[in-house]
Amino acid sequence: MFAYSTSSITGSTLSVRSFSSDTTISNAFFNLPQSNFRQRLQAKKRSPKRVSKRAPLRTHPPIPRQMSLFRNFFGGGQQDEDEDNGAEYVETLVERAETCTAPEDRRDALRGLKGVAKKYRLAVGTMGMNAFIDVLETDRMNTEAMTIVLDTMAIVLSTDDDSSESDELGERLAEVMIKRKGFISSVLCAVEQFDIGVRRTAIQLISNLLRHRGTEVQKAVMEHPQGIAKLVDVIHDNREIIRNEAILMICELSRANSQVQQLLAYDNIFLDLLNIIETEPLDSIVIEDCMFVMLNLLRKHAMNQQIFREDQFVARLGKILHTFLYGNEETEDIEVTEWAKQRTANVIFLLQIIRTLVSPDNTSENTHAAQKVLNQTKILEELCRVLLSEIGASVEILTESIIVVAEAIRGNYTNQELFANTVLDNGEDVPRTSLVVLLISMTAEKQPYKLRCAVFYCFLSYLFDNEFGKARVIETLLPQSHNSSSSLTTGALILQAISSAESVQAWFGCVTLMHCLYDVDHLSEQLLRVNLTVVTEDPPLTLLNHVCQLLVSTGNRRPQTRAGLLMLLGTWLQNCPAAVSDFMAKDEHIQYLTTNLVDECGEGSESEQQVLRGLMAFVLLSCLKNLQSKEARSSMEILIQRRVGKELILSALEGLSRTEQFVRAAQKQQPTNELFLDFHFVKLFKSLEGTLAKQLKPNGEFNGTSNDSIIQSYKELIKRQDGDIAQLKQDNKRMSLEIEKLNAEVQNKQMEREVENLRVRLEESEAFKTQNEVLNSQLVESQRLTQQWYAEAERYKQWAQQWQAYQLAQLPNGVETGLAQLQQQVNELEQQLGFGYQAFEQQSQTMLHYTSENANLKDRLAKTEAALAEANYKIEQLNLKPISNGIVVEHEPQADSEEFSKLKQEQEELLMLLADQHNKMSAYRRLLRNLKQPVTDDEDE
Amino acid sequence: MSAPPLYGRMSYAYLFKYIIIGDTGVGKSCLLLQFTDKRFQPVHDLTIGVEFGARMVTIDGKQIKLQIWDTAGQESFRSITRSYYRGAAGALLVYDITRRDTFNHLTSWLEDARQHSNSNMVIMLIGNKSDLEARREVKREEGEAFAREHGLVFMETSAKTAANVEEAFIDTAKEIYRKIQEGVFDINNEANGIKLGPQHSPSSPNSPGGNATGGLGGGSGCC
Repeated sequence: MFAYSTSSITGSTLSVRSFSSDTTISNAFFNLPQSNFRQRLQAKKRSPKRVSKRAPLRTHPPIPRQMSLFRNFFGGGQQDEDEDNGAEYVETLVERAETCTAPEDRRDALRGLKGVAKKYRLAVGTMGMNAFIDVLETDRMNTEAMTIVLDTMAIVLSTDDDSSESDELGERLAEVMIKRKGFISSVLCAVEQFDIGVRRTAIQLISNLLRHRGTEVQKAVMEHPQGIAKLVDVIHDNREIIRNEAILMICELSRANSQVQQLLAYDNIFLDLLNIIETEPLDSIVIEDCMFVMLNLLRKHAMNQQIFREDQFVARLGKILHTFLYGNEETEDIEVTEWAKQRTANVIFLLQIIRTLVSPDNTSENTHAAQKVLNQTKILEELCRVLLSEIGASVEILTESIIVVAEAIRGNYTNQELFANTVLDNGEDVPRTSLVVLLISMTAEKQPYKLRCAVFYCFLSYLFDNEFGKARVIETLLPQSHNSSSSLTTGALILQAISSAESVQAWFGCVTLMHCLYDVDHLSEQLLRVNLTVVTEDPPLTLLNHVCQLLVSTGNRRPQTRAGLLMLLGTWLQNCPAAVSDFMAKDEHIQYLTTNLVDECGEGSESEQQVLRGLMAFVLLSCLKNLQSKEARSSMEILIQRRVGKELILSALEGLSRTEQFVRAAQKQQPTNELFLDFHFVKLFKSLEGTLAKQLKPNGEFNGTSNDSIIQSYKELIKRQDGDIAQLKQDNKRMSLEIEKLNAEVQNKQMEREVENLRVRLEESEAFKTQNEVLNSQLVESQRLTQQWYAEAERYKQWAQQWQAYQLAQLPNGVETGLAQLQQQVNELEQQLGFGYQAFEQQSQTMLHYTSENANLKDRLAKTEAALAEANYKIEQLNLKPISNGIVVEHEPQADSEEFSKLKQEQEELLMLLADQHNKMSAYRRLLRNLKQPVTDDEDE
Repeated sequence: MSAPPLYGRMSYAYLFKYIIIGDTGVGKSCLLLQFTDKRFQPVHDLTIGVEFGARMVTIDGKQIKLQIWDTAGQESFRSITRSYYRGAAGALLVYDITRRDTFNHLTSWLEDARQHSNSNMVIMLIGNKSDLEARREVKREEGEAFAREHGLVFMETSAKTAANVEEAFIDTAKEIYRKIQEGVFDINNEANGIKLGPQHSPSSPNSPGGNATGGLGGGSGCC
């Protein structure tokens, strides 16, 4: 399908991305109307030439090292593989551009992409898109990156390959770009940036986009309330590169879309362009560009033409034209020889602009108003002079000027008179009028064919709707006006042309004379009075007879001449019975027609022969129609029936309108290159065809005028269908409006919802904000307070220091005294601590001593108790033997109990001592703690 | 030749660009037609996109040309018509006194205009169809109040009877003219919708020298 899609199949990651875009775009691509292509093609062919002429050549950075490695490795020969590797390489660059955080790295990656953009358009265009859009949207202030990106995108969209019919890839990439939401806005923003790189590349990008997807881009720009205005503004940039780029962009923008065209006019583009044209040198290509835009804006655009006239720009065109024709004052002396090619091109463009204003394609109101303005601004006068004087203009300029004059005077009596009264006074015997000059050029074989056609058109335009002018031409042929035989008259020149052996000239002459007879029946009779002054022969030859003789003498040769003569006769015989009788007076005339009508082997192509047969049938039937007496008519009818046959003559008549020549002549007022039938004759033929045919089919209803009625019915059908179409179009428009409205409503609603949400959030954030503010203010307040405090503390400190210093200063050798004092204090404290320790040591020893003593005592107590228990036992035993040991027993317990109570007392005293000791110890410990001496746990005991 | 050419009479001191905006069917095109052609067309095609008309008026003894751009009121044309705001010096904001909704939409029109136009644009509020008193839905006072609130000039007109139509256009022009006198408008910036007229009608270019030998007639001409 596409050459580059083959590579996408082999590629690993690329294939997915590019393939998907492939499928979507190609459809749209094939749906494009053909005409767009041609336009764009034209555009493309125009552009490279001029870019290279004006803008400095774009220099691309050298291809990165890796690339050249690739290339060396693969020898550069294998295209596919190269593409693949290119894609991989591009992918790496894209990845870098997307992920790099350091701006330099990213810039280098983008630069790398730009370097290979030309080579791998598809890869760079598709894979890099996200990175590019990201820069456009988020990195607007980074002019360097913006320039690189915009340039890359522009490169991707352009091709150097002029040979290909269209640039499919460019089209599709452009479509992908435009479809990105906000893309056009971003580019428009870039255009607004003042930086030269950004602005220039942005404009170039828009130009390229327009070349590929004009309609969509125009629409997208129109979506922006000031989109067009922004683009027009760039034209005011006083950096010439930018301005010229902008003009080229406007060239593309101004195509085809009448709304854009109107808006451009509204934004004063005419004025801007005219200002530029007036400052550029005459052979500047920029002028052509400007005029190209103007031509686009004015062609068939009634409103823009009106604005152009109302803003009095036509007068400025006149001034510019004058400058072009005669040069600036300062360059006058140099300007003698040939003009520069570009200057000629510029003048032709200028003439085309003027012509657009008065073109017969416009509404008659518009054309007429413009014709008036051309007269008032003296442009017409100027152009008439161009026709008549030697100014070094080329034949192209002369031809174009003649056509402009033709359309400027066409149907406007004032202008026709102005033209006719222009006189060429070249110092020879009698001044020649412009009409004579025209006819001389028309009859001069050595003049270029195009020029002669233009002259012919101009003469016809002079005659158009100009009864007085027609009469004046005929008058010059009438006998009484032959007083000044030496001077060339228009009539004489026309007759000379008719009699010419050159077919083209004869045809010109016939048709010119024929135009003199249109719509002015009395002139047909006048023309009958014309005699040719042939000196030798006695009976003066009438013009009609002369024309018939010419026709007869051509036999079946010279088709073009015969076509001219037959058209002239056919017109002459209409509504002029005298002419008919004169014509029929000689039998050979009718005979010629009837024989040649059935002749199958005349000169000329088959189509031309068909035309001629049709013309002969037309003349014959015109005779029949314009015969006065009934008898004559019926005898003529019989004659036709006998010699030709009704069927044949009718089919010949019908056949005329089916010929190629007929169809082509019916299309345009201005004669085409192939001169065979005339526009006005075709009109006349159409209006008479039905009536003429009816003569041979009196029962029109039954027998026929079938053709006519069929056409009529078709016409009605077409009319009905036209109505339907119009109705449907209207409906369609209404529907689409409604749909749009509904869509808009839906969108609006969504928007409203969104807005509501946002509003809520906004309120919240506002609340936060106020809170924040309160807090902030509090913070500030407290900071202030803190600072005050700090300051105060500082002040106190200062005071304290001052005081200390003062105090120290009071003492002799203050510091040492203070130190000594402190040292002393320390010593004292240490001493105290030492005492404390000693006391503690003593205490603990005493305690130890007491503890051991206590243990001893306990021991003793236990022994004593044991002894007691023994004693008690002995007592009991003694008690058991009371007689023997009575006294002893009584005595002994008494001594024991005394001893016991003594011990008990002793023990209690010891316990008390112990408690006392403990208290003391606690006190010491506290003291130690107070003195910050470490007190270990074991010391607790 | 010495008489001033016909064209000279068309010259003007200033050209003001106006736009007419407002809902569809309020009579914008009819107002324009009444002003430029002094006629009323009861049935008017929907305006497609933007159309324009022009007329010369005299203010303070100066010829001023009004170039009036009549926009389509339909929503679908909003994006097109918005493009015209920037280049206009004056705007007629029109509503229909017999249709309350057209009055209610004024705020959105005004917002649009203020957003896209230059800040000095003179806006005239027009309540049209004042001849249809019986079907009135919006009181004159309401229009006045709206105008006062938003700093607009107010007028009720009838494109049908031509009542106040002249005044509406001319008063706007006067206001613009006053702003020019005060120096508010930069008349050299055409984006403001104001253009200085040509001082003189264009002079005819000089005739070429007499050395001409005839481009066509000479036979030996340039061709």
